[in-house]
Amino acid sequence: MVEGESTCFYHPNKKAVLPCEACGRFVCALCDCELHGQHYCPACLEVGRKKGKIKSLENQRTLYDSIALSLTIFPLLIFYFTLITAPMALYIAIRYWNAPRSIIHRTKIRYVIAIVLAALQIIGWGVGGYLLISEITRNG
Amino acid sequence: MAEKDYQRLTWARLRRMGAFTAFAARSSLWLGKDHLLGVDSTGYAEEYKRFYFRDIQAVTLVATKRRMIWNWVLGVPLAGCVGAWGVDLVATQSMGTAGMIVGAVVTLLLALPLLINNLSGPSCACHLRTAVQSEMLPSLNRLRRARRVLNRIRPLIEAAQGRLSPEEIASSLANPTAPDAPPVIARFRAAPAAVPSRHYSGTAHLVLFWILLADVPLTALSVVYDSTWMDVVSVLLLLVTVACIIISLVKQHNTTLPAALKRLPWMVLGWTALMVVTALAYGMVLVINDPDAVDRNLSPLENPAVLAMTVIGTTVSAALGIVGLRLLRKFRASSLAPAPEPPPTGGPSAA
Repeated sequence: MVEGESTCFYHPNKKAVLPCEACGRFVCALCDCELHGQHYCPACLEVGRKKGKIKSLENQRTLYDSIALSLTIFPLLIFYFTLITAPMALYIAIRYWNAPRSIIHRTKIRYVIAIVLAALQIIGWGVGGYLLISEITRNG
Repeated sequence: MAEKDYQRLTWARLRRMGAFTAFAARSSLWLGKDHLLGVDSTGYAEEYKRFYFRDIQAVTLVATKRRMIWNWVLGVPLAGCVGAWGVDLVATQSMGTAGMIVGAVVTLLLALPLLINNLSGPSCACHLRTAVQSEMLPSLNRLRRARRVLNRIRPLIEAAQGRLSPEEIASSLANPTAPDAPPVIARFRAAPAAVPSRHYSGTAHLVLFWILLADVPLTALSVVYDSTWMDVVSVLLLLVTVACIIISLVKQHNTTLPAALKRLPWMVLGWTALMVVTALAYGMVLVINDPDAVDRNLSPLENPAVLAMTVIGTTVSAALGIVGLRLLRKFRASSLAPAPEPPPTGGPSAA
């Protein structure tokens, strides 16, 4: 190495060609991973892929909004299931409100509908339970 | 308003993942800034495949018989329905309100997809090829739509890769294995992966075809000798037929069985489904019109419409059985025949 030149973070014997755009570490030509004009070191690329920080490396997403909506609609066929599914849908809708949705453009309308329907179902169970208890206490 | 990352190129279409596609993913195609995005969605999760314009080597369109097959699948039941209602109308001289409603709904359910199938134009299979993969694009299954999409992405691919003159294309086709190609590309070009085929003698098919033939005497017997036991035997025969169809479809996968023989179980399945649906729909109409006279109206000797359905059903079953047995016999004979001897190489030729 020539004095005054930077060396690769991963290969101290090799000359660095540029810094990683995520962590700033100097990397050599071997460690330089180019992705759509941006340069990353292998570690940042792996972290970006695993944590979904680099959108173009994502190859799968779970659609929590669709799951929440299905949990509020399909159990209506057998209404008794909504006693369990409505709180589940409400939990999923709130818990994953900020989670990445589909990579293609999608609004939060499914979450909104799921929350409204789940809330209505829970209120319905509450009112039904209250009426049932008051009926029992009146007769008892 | 935020700019959209992707523009829709196609609506979602079913991705065929084997014989049964009920739970298959739906595939759609989206246009990104520098790539195509293929989205396979199950409804609750999505898988993404990116095809960068700079990596696309070829897009191939192959004409398929999909439209014709759907025309048969939808057209024959439609003709059957219309025929059945016609026979019923002629036989009874009047069709009740319930009969008209059921007839209209069934006809509409068959006629509408048939119309859409023909308005969509010729069908095709579209494959997109890069250096390391060849991916089918199920959403481009119609020639017109595929050409529209290709016309839209062609300038983008040319902008990313440059444009080849016809002479350069001819030159590269004449010399497909360029010496400087990376090993993976050279291997991909040299030896496309072949699907291994295994030998299968067609025993399940044989049973299926004999059962179809057995339907003829049984039906004839049930016409003249109407009893509950005959009904039970008929239902059992139907169940055995369905079981044999499923076993045949599973067994014939990746085998050396001829294509014509492989098509027959599908045809039997389609025909059986059609007969069952028609019989159920007609039975419903009879029940709604006159619940007390169902037994009498379902007898082929009493009702010309039922007689017509019985005769047509039995004839087609017998025809399928006979054709199947002939094809199977031919296939087995060719399998048993000794392989032709290779021509002698070198040495003096016989005078």
